[in-house]
Amino acid sequence: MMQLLSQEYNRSITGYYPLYKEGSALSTIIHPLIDFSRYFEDETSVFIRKLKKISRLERLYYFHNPDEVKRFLLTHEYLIEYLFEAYDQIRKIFGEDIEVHLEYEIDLEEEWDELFIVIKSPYPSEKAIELERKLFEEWFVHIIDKLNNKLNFTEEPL
Amino acid sequence: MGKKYKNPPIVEALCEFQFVPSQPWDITIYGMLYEKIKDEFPVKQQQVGFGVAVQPREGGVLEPKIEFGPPQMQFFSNDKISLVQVGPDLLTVNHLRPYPTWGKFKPLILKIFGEYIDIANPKGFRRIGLRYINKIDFDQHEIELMDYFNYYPSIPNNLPQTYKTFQVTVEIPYNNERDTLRLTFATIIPEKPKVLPLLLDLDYIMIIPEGIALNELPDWLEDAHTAIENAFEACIKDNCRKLFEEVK
Repeated sequence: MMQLLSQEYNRSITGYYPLYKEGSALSTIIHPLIDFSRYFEDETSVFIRKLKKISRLERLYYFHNPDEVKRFLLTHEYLIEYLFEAYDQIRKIFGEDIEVHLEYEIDLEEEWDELFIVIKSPYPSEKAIELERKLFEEWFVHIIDKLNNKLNFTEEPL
Repeated sequence: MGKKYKNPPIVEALCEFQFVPSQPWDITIYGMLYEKIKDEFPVKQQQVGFGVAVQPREGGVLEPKIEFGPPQMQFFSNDKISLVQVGPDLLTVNHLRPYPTWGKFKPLILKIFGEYIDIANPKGFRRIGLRYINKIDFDQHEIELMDYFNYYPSIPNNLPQTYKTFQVTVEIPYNNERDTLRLTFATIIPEKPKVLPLLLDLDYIMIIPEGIALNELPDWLEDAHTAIENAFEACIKDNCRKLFEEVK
């Protein structure tokens, strides 16, 4: 008897098409599996592309509460492109010795929820504040109107 | 598919063409095609391709880096339910939920394809794919897969038989290996808590470049659609048909 459980954290989205490995247990294969390692930009399905993009984001960001972050991204799809953009902008300004996290915050009483990019940097507080301000002025201020108060960022010590 | 359902699980149907070009890609093709189809697909959007590559840093640390791919144009219908995607030697016709029936989708594919070949004049097909993506939601904490499906992972008896995620893919050759049916069954991210969504992805592909001539497309589409219909019905059991509310 085989059972399948529902899950809070579904990892199957990650690498929807895994790389095929020689010696796989699939005994009925008579032709090598093809095309499994396609980047999602080659993905022409709108539905699957969205899932693959979320999977790619998980390689860039550390998802604090992965179920909630993924669900939020599925229902606020327009944020996905901004998160790719954010990753590049943050590294341009903060450098490479940082970690970037994604955290879903919700306040049920206030009926408010939002995704936070948490930049964990090794800098002293003055320098970190300066870089945070620079990120705001050079990038965030230009897109803030398009985010519907659903994405924000903050800095924390590493 | 095949049988009629009141609540079909299709979330997207698409037909993808990759072409063998007869000349270098001409960027004016985007504009010329848009002129031809803009009454049905007026909403333009550029799709920028992102990829995440891993590059080594000092000390052997591997670091993800964003890479950009060639842009594609997307032309949406006003309701954003159907779209045409165009890139270098690439054409895709997509239809999202609600699926309009094969009787309407096939003529749409052929119409867009006809407009494209008049403009781009490709030498032949490199690859064709007809694909149906089904999402089946269960409002249950757990299900017995074999109650609903004939296609599922086989777990050795000496391992626990309860699991959370899976993904199985097989490729079944058709027409002397000119075509293949890629059949994927997997768990995906739930959009709501306590919902168990499963993906059944049926992708019928001509994998041999120039395996058919351009004018043989209508027959190929019909064969591909029949293979997908048969595979879909073979994968599901009557309990699934009840969920989809079969119309008899």
